[in-house]
Amino acid sequence: MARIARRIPRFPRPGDILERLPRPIRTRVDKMGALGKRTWEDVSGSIVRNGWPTSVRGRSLAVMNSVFLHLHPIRTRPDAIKMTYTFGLGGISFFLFLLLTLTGVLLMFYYVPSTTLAWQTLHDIQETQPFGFLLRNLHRYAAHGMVFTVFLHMCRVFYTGSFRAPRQFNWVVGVILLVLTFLLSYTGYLLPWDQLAYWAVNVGVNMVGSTPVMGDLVKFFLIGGYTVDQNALIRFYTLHVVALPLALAVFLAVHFWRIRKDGFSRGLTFTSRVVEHEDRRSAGARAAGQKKD
Amino acid sequence: MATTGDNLTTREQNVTVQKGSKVLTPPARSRPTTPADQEVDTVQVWPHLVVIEFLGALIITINLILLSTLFNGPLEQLANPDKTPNPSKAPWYFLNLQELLLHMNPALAGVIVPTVALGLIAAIPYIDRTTRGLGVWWYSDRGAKIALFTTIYSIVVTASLIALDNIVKLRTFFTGLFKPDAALGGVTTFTAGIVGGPNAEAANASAQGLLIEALTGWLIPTFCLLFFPALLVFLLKRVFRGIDLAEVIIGLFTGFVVVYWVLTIVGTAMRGPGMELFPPWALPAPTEG
Repeated sequence: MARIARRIPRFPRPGDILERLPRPIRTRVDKMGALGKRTWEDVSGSIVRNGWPTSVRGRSLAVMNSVFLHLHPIRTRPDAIKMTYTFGLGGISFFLFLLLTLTGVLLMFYYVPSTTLAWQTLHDIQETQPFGFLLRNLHRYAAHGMVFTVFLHMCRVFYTGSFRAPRQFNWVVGVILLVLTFLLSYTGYLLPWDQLAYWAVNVGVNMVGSTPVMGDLVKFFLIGGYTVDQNALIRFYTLHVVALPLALAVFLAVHFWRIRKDGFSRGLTFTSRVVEHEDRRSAGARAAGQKKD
Repeated sequence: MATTGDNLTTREQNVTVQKGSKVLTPPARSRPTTPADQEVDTVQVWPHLVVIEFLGALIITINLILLSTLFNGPLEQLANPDKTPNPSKAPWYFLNLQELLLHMNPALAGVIVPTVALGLIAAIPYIDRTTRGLGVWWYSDRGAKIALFTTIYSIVVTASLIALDNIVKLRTFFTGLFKPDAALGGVTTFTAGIVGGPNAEAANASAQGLLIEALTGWLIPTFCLLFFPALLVFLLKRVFRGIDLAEVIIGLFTGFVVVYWVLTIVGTAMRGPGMELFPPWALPAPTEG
């Protein structure tokens, strides 16, 4: 076997070709290679402040010095990465939001928010654009998924008592984010301007129109007229692609900031220290009671 | 509830029992007190958390791409205001409200109930102010049982109410009840004393409509919306002795979640043309009107 293997010619590597070149050319190529390597190191070193983290310090710096990672703390509780505690629901919701932003921007390159063109442009995206159907499906399923995961995230936070002091306000922000998610999904529902979209939105708009006292006013304000038409489409479109995502981003920023400031719900926080203190006190009281006995 | 013995120790224990159940606290390991413990009991975000986030993002993306490749989203005919599909349905997450709409006044179902529900949910941390049970699943050793009890209760109550309204049809029932009575000269029993005069019949019909709407659209639904949560709290207090506020709120929140999903499922999978009730496996396709 070894003899056969030796007979098979080795696949030439770039170095082999270099070795066969005449010496003057080889020197030049070597010099250019060194220059290229140095330039690459310069450029990559300027993009990432620290190299690939290999030490505890390096790992800390990697989180601290990156705009994308610095929302994280440097160290965290093992429970924060325990699947059965969080199920990653908040993170999944946020990732779906990012995915929706990306696919949404791509869809916006084609989509025209006009009652005469909307359906046709969407049809064209699906039928003629490369990966158009995939793009639209991704946006659609990620949207449904986000409504679902945000709801589940709310349940997780509730059942783990993570809304308790000092996180009360972040719970309220979370409820606002849930409402914004509903509204984002709902405003996006009209945009295909097909029968499904049109009548589903009519059902919702009529529901809003039944608001006591100022129902008609609210309905008129929402759809810019008496029936769901061009004005409603442009309003829903603007809300869907600009106003609501911006609002969501602002509340998300507050939401994340407060998680960092209030601490992870199973982390070492002021509250957990208070609980611990109370525990110790009641344990002490119990022990004292037993002693008396 | 131990009532035997009257020494100090038993009383002390009774106090803890009466307070309800054993409130759970995170495992001692995860609650370090000194900075040194903290160092030992924490992990570095890079790589431990970052890797999980990356893998999570990857798994979600792969699954979404698979789903998007296998199933295409619907694009129906161009919107046509003259062709109303029967039934027209809202997106699934609002179908619970649309289901409520069948049983009460639109203002109550579409605006007041969701607003109040969201307001109450947002207010939870300001009502349940205990700092205990933070960071543990189910708050206490019987939190999960309370949630299970509430789940069964809510499914039974919601399903029964929907079934009842489907069989009795409150609106039809009361219209029948208030049928103009020939013996009273074409005036209903209930409005006989209200209106008289030359336009009595029309005025009475209108008064009758208002009365039926007040009853079936507002009074009976509001009663149900208040009575059944109250009954739940009452039952929880009977079944789980010494239940505390946090546990009652676990019950009420679970009730909201379960009712939300029961109504969503009924609205999505069991409402056919004319919003009639169908079994999910025999749900007819919507027809264009």
